Amino acid sequence: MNDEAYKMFESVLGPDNVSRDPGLLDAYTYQWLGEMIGEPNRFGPFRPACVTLPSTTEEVQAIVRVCNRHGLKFKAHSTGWGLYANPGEEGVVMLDLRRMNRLIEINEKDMYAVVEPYVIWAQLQAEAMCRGLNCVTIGAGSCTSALANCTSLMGTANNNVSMGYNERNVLGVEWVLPDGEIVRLGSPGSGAGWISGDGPGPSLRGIMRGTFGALGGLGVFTKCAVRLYQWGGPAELPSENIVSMDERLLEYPENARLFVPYFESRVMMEEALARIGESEVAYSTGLLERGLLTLGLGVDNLNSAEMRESLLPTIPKNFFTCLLVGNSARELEYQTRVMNQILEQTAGRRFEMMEQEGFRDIITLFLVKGGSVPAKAVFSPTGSFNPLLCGFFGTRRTLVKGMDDAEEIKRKYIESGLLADDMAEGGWSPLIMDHGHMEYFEHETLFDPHVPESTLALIMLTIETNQSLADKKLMIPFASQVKVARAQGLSVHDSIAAHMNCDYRTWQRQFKQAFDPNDAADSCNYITPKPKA
Amino acid sequence: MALQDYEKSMNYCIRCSHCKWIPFNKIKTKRFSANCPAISRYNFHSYSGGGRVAIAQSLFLGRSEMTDEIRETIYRCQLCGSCQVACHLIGEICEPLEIARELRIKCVEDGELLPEHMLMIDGMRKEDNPFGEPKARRGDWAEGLSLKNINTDKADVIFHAGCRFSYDADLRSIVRGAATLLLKAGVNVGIAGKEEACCGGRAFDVGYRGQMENYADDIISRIKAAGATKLVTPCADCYSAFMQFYPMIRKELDIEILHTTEYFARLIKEGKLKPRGGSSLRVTYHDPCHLGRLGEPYIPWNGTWKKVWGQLNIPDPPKQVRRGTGGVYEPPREILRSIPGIEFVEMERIREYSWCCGAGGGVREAYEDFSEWTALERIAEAKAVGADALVTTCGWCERNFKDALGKRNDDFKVYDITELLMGV
Repeated sequence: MNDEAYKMFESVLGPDNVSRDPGLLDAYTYQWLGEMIGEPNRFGPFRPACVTLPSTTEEVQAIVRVCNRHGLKFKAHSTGWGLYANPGEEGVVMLDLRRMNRLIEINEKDMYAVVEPYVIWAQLQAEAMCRGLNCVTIGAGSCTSALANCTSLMGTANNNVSMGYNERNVLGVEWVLPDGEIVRLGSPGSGAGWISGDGPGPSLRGIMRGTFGALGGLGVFTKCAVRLYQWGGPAELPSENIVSMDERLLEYPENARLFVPYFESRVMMEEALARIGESEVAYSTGLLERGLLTLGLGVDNLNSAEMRESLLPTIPKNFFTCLLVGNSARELEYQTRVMNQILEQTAGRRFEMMEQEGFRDIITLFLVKGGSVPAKAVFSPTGSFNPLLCGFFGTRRTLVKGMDDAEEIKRKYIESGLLADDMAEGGWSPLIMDHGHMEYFEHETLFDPHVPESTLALIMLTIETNQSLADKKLMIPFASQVKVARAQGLSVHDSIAAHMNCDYRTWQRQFKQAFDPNDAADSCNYITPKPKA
Repeated sequence: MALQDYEKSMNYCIRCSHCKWIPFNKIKTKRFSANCPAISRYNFHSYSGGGRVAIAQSLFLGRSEMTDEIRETIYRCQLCGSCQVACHLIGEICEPLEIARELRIKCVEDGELLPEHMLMIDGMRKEDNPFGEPKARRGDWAEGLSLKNINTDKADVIFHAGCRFSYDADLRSIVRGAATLLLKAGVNVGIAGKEEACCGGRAFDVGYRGQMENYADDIISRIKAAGATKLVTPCADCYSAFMQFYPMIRKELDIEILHTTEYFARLIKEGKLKPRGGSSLRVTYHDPCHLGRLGEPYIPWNGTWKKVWGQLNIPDPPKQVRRGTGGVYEPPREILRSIPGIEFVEMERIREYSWCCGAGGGVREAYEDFSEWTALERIAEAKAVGADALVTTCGWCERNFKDALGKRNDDFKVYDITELLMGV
């Protein structure tokens, strides 16, 4: 790369915090789903030009300005998991924001936390819980960046039902624009603290984040405030053992209760979920379809294979999990009565095996914290997965359509033997967002990254599923499409916009041009300032 | 094994960064949530367990070549194994610890050596210990204890002192105390004295596999000759070498192997040992990596991965998933709870996900500042739970903690569990 620019990075950061060693850079090239876009290994096609480790907003700004001056593209990541974090072309300067890891403030009174990019959800949650507060830890896992999820990339969570989607939980934001200007959104923009994302001060949340995020295509976010919520459970959930299936709570929280209802049909299940959302009694809801549950939750893969054989037939098809957490015994009793009434109205029955000690503890930890369970379930069996319908937000009644559609198409791919055989029942989902006005579903698809035919089957299945959704005028799931678009060398929005009612790219490109006049921020997962030839 | 034997394993890192944290459900505070000293100190992803897997695959595929920066990255790691514990909570094919070790073996094979490690190996070759201290003085620690000499006498128990305890004068009271406790409990115990040799674990850790093989052969022949039923060591490093490294290179010790804490806990239960206790003390316990997660018995595997349920990977025959759960965790705690006057409190990072002391993997020898920084992180954690003292059961840990504290004129106390049993 440009020596002069590199020397400027060294002078800004110190030589220990910048590198262009090819081997070290390959650690930034190796990526989950690299197998989808490059060789049949995890190295994607583009090795960064160099990696920088800024520790302050000013250092980020300096790097961005050097990039603009020297015509270099840059891409920032926080915890850096997934194809979204990797460069989309040659010569990109990486900003690894790992050193920006400060949990700046937890404001108990106004119920928010101010974080830098490398604060992960697990850290924020632990600090919040011991103060009687909690946050939305997303399904991607406790290891992901709170800031990245809030500012840059979608992620849903089992506890969206009680605390909402993080698109709305982000408050004040500090943002280094692609040209190096620092903007503070919301109340920080007028020096009024971090409590609001919309003012007094500029309100640009729609541009910054929208539903899915710009995935690095609009600059670097260096601080943000995350809304925290009342937590009625204990300050900690002490457990013994570390392996998920063996993990046991030392004491089950007295103000918590787990329901695992099942239903004759998905339509009835959806009805129950809608009523649960409307009644505002649930702390957390979660779908873990039986194919995924049995394949993914064994102590090891051998155990999973056994569970798939012997346990699966005992599990009902249409079930979900629901955790109630009351602020008092009386509130928990109220929530329980409401739940029982909803189940009575929707002919739901309780799957007692999963409400008893053992599964109960694992599921409760999963529904409150996430922990290792989500990653264990989807990665351990085959070594990789990609969700179908990732980003499938819908209104009432679209959930069942999406679920049915994915299951039907997936079944024939499973018959080929190239994917994990989850009986096409690999769904994970919070199912309902906020208080039930929105539904969400994704269908985890497990493939082996070491078997090129398996990776190809995953790509073909994703394309076919998304096309089917488009044909039915349902939403194209952005986070599924972005990866297949990259595998096909397409721009994700170019592949989605044709199916929408309006060509939103016109607006999106204008934002990109206005905020990034030199096209410095790597937009491989967002939009290019001009249409590709 | 060699790097090519991990070809499949290298392709199964998912780049999730679990290798950088203690198990998420165990996090109590942000301050003590990290598990890996190397990534915590040097920050580039290449320093993490996953990053090392990427480096290994890059070298293996010929995408990059060895450079000074990569060699530094490879050796700036204690091989404490916390990355692998975390990794194996979500998978089982990728083995970041074994791959990190294979990188070092490759370095040695390719002549990519560190002078500090060469000095250590030279000491082993000449005097059978990593310090280069005279072999003739190895048994001096036992002077006047009336222990049997297993080179000439039969004994039920072979007491293997290890290099650190044999030569570190500051730790002499610990090894003498341990032997004394065994004698008091009526154990028929003997030592090899000046004939005792290094276990070779430290050599293996810095990539000198052949050096350890020689020591393993030596110990195996000595055990056979002694006719003992138990091999007991106060050294966590040696314990790990016997339990993990030797089976890894297919050298089996046909004898029951016990760390002193395991044996003491057993003797206390049997009423043969009575903890004396001393003044009241609030202590916390540091799980040494080599006694905990790296003390987990290694079960050799020479199988293949086969497919069931479409693409589900299962090992044939069954393969151990190394998560450290089979390490030695309860005996030291049982002992601490049994000592009158001791109030025992846990730190945040314990058992399988304990933070390393910083001394392992050749880091103490080659990167003193990193080793010290790692130790101070642990001491900060001990202080954070209000402990008066940090208790450990490994001479290397104790040495490293004491050196780090000494440089700062910090009088925070560090004890071996044997000292508490003896009545500090």
